[in-house]
Amino acid sequence: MNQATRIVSKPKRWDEPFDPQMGDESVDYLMSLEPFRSMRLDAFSPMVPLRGILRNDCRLNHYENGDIVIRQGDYGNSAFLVLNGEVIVSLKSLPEELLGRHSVRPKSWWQAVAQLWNPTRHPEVRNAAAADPAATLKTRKEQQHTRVFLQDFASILDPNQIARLRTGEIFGELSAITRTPRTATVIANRPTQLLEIRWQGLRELMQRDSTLKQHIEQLYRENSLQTFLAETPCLQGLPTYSITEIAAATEFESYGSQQWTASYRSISQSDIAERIKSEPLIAQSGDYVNGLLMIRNGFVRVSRMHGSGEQTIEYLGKGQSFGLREIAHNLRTNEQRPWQLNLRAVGYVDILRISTEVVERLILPQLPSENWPALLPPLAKSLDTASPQRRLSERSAGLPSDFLEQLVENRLINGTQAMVIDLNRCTRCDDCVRACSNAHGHNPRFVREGTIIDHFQFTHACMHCLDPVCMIGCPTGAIGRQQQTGVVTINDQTCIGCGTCAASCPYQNIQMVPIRDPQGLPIVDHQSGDPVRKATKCDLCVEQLGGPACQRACPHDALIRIDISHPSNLIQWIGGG
Amino acid sequence: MIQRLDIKESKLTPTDVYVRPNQPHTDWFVPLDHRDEPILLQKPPLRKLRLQIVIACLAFTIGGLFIVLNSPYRDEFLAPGPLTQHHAQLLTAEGSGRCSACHAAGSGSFSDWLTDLLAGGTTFPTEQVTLCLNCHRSQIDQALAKLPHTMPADKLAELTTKHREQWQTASTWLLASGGKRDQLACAVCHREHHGTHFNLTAMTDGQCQTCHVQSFAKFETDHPPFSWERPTSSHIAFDHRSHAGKHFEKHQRTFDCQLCHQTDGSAMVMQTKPFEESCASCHRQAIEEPLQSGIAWFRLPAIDVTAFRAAGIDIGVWPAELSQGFDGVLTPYMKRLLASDAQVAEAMEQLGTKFHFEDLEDIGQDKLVHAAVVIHGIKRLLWELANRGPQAAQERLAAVNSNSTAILPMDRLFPFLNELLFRDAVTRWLPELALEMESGKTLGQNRINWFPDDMDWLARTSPDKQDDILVPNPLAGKLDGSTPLVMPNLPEHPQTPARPQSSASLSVPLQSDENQTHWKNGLRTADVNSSRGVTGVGSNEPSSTHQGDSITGLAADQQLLRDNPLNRLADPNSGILPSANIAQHDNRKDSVGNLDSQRSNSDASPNSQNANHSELEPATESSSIVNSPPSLKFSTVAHTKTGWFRDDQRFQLTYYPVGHADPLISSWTELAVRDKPINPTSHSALLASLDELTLPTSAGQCATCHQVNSSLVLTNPFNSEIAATALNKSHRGWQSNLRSPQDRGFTKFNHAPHLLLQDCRSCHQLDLASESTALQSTVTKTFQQFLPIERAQCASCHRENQAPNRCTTCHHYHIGELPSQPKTPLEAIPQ
Amino acid sequence: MSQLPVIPRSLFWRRRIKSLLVAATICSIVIWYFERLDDQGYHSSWPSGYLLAGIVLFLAAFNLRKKITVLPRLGSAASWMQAHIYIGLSSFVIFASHVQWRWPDGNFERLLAIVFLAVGCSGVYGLYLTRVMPRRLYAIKQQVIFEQIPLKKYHLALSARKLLLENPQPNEILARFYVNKVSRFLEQPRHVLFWLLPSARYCKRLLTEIRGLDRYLAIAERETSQSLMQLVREKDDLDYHHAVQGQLKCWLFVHIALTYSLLTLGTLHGIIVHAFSGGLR
Repeated sequence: MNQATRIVSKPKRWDEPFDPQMGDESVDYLMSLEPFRSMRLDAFSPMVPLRGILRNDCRLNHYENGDIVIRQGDYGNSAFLVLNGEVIVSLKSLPEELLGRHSVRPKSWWQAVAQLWNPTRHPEVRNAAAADPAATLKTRKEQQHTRVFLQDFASILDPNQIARLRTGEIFGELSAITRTPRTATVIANRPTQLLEIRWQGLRELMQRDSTLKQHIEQLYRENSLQTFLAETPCLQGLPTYSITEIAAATEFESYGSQQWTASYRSISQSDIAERIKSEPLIAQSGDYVNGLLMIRNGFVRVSRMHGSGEQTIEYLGKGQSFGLREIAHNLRTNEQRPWQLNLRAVGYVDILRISTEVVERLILPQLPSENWPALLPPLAKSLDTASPQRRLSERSAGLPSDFLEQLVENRLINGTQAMVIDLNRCTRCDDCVRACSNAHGHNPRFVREGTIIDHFQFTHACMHCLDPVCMIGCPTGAIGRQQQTGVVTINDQTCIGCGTCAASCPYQNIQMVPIRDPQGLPIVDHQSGDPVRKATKCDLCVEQLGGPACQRACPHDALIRIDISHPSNLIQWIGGG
Repeated sequence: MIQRLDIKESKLTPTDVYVRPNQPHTDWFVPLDHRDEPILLQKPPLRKLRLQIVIACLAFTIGGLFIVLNSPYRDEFLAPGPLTQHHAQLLTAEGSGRCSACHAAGSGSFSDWLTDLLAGGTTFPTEQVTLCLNCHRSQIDQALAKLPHTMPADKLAELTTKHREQWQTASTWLLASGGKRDQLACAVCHREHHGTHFNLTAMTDGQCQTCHVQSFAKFETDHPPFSWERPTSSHIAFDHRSHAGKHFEKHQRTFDCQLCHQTDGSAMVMQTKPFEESCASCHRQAIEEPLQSGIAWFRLPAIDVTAFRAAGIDIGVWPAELSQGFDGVLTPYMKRLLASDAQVAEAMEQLGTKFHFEDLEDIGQDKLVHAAVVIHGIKRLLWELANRGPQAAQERLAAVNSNSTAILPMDRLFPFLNELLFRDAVTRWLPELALEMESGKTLGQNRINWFPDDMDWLARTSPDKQDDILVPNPLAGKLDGSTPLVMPNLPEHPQTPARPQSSASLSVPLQSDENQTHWKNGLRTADVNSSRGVTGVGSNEPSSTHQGDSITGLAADQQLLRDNPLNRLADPNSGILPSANIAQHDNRKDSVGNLDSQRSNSDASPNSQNANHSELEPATESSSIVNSPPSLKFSTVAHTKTGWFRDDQRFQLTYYPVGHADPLISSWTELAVRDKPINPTSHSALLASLDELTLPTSAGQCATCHQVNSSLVLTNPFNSEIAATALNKSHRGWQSNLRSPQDRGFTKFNHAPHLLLQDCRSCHQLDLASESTALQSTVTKTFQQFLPIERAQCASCHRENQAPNRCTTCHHYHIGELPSQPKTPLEAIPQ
Repeated sequence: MSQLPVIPRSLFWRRRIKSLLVAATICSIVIWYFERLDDQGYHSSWPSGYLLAGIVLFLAAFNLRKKITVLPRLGSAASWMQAHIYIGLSSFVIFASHVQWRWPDGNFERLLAIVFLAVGCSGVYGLYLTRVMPRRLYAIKQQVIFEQIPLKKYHLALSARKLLLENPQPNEILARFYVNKVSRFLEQPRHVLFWLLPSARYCKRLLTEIRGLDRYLAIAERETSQSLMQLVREKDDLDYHHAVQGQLKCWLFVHIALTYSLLTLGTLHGIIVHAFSGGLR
């Protein structure tokens, strides 16, 4: 809420509109449609008028019969409004192959052995036929977009497992707002026109138009809030009815920009203090503790005032919560302790806020005593040194703070399978790379290079991020998460080499490689004559039986694939302070 | 080294060059921030270089090996090290295949070895042990070579069980824990190829203790107490305590062990010096004085013929002098000889072993009968001896004692003896014996030619000559009456006590000499070869030479005599010396006889003639000494008479022993000791003789010091043939315990080095506490004079970091007798 | 994916001590057993020989294992490395007992022993390198991949030329100095000794000399010399990386190459002793 007031000038993002082709006539056309027609224009700030939103944050998409609008499991940052025509929502998940994905299954023993004698002497060799996406996917060009369509999808879909959305209905808004995977596949049932609203615009609309806001929040509560709450550590063991009650009382907030990947490199040159200050503030030390904050998405930097700057103490990832300790402390000892620390959004953050009153009424009483957080340390005379020190020692088990800083700076905290190399043990023998190339038909999938933080090298191999920006906007859905393992893989066959993922990966961990045939000749596109490219990256050896080859190949215990979205693993591996 | 790829010609964009290099497997190292730049690749990649090096190294190794293995230096190359100097020549010899002396595979080629490995060792089946024994077969018994302790398995087991019983209460340290290794190859302990000066026979205590169940750490603390069986072979009953205490003090002499004991050549064992060097200085006199008067070997007992007649028992001929009354005994020698005669043995048993002819005075008929049998037995014995001499005696001995002839040679049983002595005795004492013998009991019947080869001595013994044969000797009364048939050259001896006898013998009437001559001439034809014996004839050395020579000869002879009678026996020359003198004397007497009567001298050899003439003067000279006053005292230096004398007074054949260790006495005693009676009847008689021979008062008092008994044969329990040879050992238990260095027992002790440091008595301490042992102390008693040797005594020096205290310091591994000179290995190398 | 046991960085010393203790214990037990066999009159050379052969084969198998990393259930290379290290160290002891604690007398056996020790010692040297050198490498701030080094040197040389020669107004002194001295340093390989014992001595001298030139330079020109010095420093770092990483790779040449010789000789040894045993097995 206070977030909105911060916007004082015309948003920067409008410098590059969502769709340059949007003209006044189409805006007028939209304004004549529901729900925009019934929106009160004065609710919008003069800087961000409704028309502006429609012009800059929206675009008109036309879909033919059978076109796939969104795929289940995809990440997307825009919602769709049906202007005319009809789309079908498949309530049951469709076969992956149909969506251009592939479920990777491990090789058999025999295959594993056989690959040792891989005859090819050329890199990135593909079978030309198999490498052609057209073999599996029906694609067509819609202006500059590539559309994938299913033929006689009616036969595929189970008629009583579908929902039909018609004019005026909106879909895809939830995952757009909360940066969560799409929950269902949507297919155009007949020639259809959809209004695609990117998330910034959607957020504006939500804030201006209460009905929309309520609608989305309602949707969210119904869908996944309860399960999320139930999984939240600090709410473990609460009865279901109180969970629903809490869900009812939960408010949604989102901070920062979803395009953090673009922004963070641009500002990374500026001074660290400036950078931290530029991050949107979620809670400020000294303010009243107004609720229990749960991170729904993204990362939160926990810092404290230190001298003239801020010192990062830890970072919180998805599912972690903050503030329960303060509330519990205040409840027990009738003090009124304010926030002890600053909370800042690193990139884009989704926050669930449960107000203090609700926490005291619903959560704490039912919390088993052993789950109660410890009391806060008594206030020291000078606040800047003693108590935060103690708190520091309690909260994060000593990674050096600059280490943390840099982890956060480089957004490495995003990685769940980051490759970390201990340079004090690595003899540069490159066995890891060799193993990797052996595991991928003599094609290494990473470069033994990367940001070095205190003799740990965070190597350029796919980290299988918590927030996989690479999965946004893949036209064919070739890139996707494996359901069971959560590993991000690229379906080499359906990859059309558009390079979207490689461009959007902030860590340069996806390489576009031209492929060649077994004779070593480049495979070229017969129209353009350009070499056909494929996106390649570390697939964590999902096809191999033994797990990531790089880690198993390192003779000196120098290399590890590790989840650093929670610092505890890293701390354990480094072996404490 | 650095090659530049130009991107222009390839259709790829720079980015592509990064992800699409032309070298597989080397693309990944191109840095991200150089994507848009020319690429420099290191050539060749290090891994390629590594591969080349590996291949080169491998090729070099294999090639080198191939060359060496096919070169003549193969053996030097493969030999795992130089051999010890004993075996060194095996390897350093010329040509290839030298390894094959010890290794069957040495003759093979690499391919053979390979097949051997693949075939599981069937290509070269020959075991190394057999190759070892090719050379060492003379040192070690082939059959036993691989057995533990080179001892037959059963023997070992037997020994083990024996010790188990013995040590049940004590430790079981020396018990093999049972068949751990039933076969041990030589190389198990003797490991070669460890350098020239490597000790092949070194053995660690641990090696011993793997089989011996109770292993212990240190000799000085853990070794079980010594309690081996005391040495079984001290044959001399020598009371160290009384000598140390009484006797030596009495004579103000220090009791020094070295006086009697010395190490043998190998210095491994301590031995006792021979009699002459040890005991003689004190005991010679005591032993030899009684022997001066000689010992009665054969004697006719005196009997009361009338008593027999009264009893109606016909004795047959018997010397008149011996017919007046019962007297005399049977010498043990006679008893032994008579025992072979079944009746006589029976009779003697009836009469009782200790019986004396005087006892016959007042007894009944029956005894007389037995006595008569004995008398006849005696006559038969005499007759046989007269006819066939020692041969007969030998046979009689053999008849009663199964192992007599086996061990005892004639020249020890009957030194200088031949039948002439007995024939003469017959002619002198029982001239009619011939008649009686040839015709049962009746006298004066037709004569059968009894001795075809020697008719004339029978003629001489015709009764008509009896009177002049039986002329009493005028001097006989004065002197001891012994009329020696033969006389050694006593006259020449300066202070001889026997002078009166000799003079008497000179004055003996000539007839005797004639007879002498007669039968001697007859003898010439009869047995020329019997140069031994009293009347050794035709001896061509000092016998027929000048008197002076024979004197010196005698001096030398007596010297020898004193030194070692046994040696003297072994030497024929010295052996016949006395007889030679005697013979010489005869010749002279013959010649004297021939002065008046030249008859029947035709066959006298001319040189003897000359000799006779030449010896006249010395003879008269010698006779001129007659008047010198007789000295009746014996000198202790040397007794004069040795050999056989016929005593017509006492009708006995006297033997004058040569002194200590006289062959006859020792051998007969030994014979008695070793009796294996054949027929039970003879048993008592033999026992009787045994008793008499081994009495302390018996001639020579042998049994006083010598523990002569049948158990005194050194035997080696582990080796049958050694036990056999032990029977033939010269000493036969007469000498003190003799340990041969050849006998390898489990335990060894080298006296020599210890004697450098210490006096014997520091280890062998006299046990003065216990009561003094009698002279006839048993073997064990002799050793009980000493305190047992305790471990502590050895351990005082043999301890950690001092004198060696290892098992092999005192113990042998290879048991049994090893040949003294092994063959040199080279002879046995298979070519 | 299979979660491998994660060892905290700071606790390697604990693993090291543990493994050393285990290895020492096992070794002493084995040695004691062999001594006992010898006492019992058996030849411990047989069991120890077989053991040694097995060990050598296992150690050699490590190289094979590295080639087939993708196969599962072979254990991670790290655990193989640990086994390789400690079994390799133990093999010295086993070897000593196999040769009866003395230097073998035979020519062939000496050769075999020499090769064995050479392989072992090269391994120990390699262990030293792999444990010590990484820290030194990290001490050099810029991290570079071995095969990139020529490229980077090339670019250094280029930029140096650009800086001094292709300069619009070239600086006389610096240019001459560059041509005479620095160019050799930047564009030609270092001295052999440097490859064996890399040190920054020459670089330092060069830097002082360049600094010495400052007195002849105008203030404006000095940053040129500064950037030249910077180039020199970077070149020296590159050379250091080149040398050290080269060592880290090259010790393996000896180690692996000799291993093959060792296997050959060892096989021959085995064949011969079996053939010559004469029923002593």
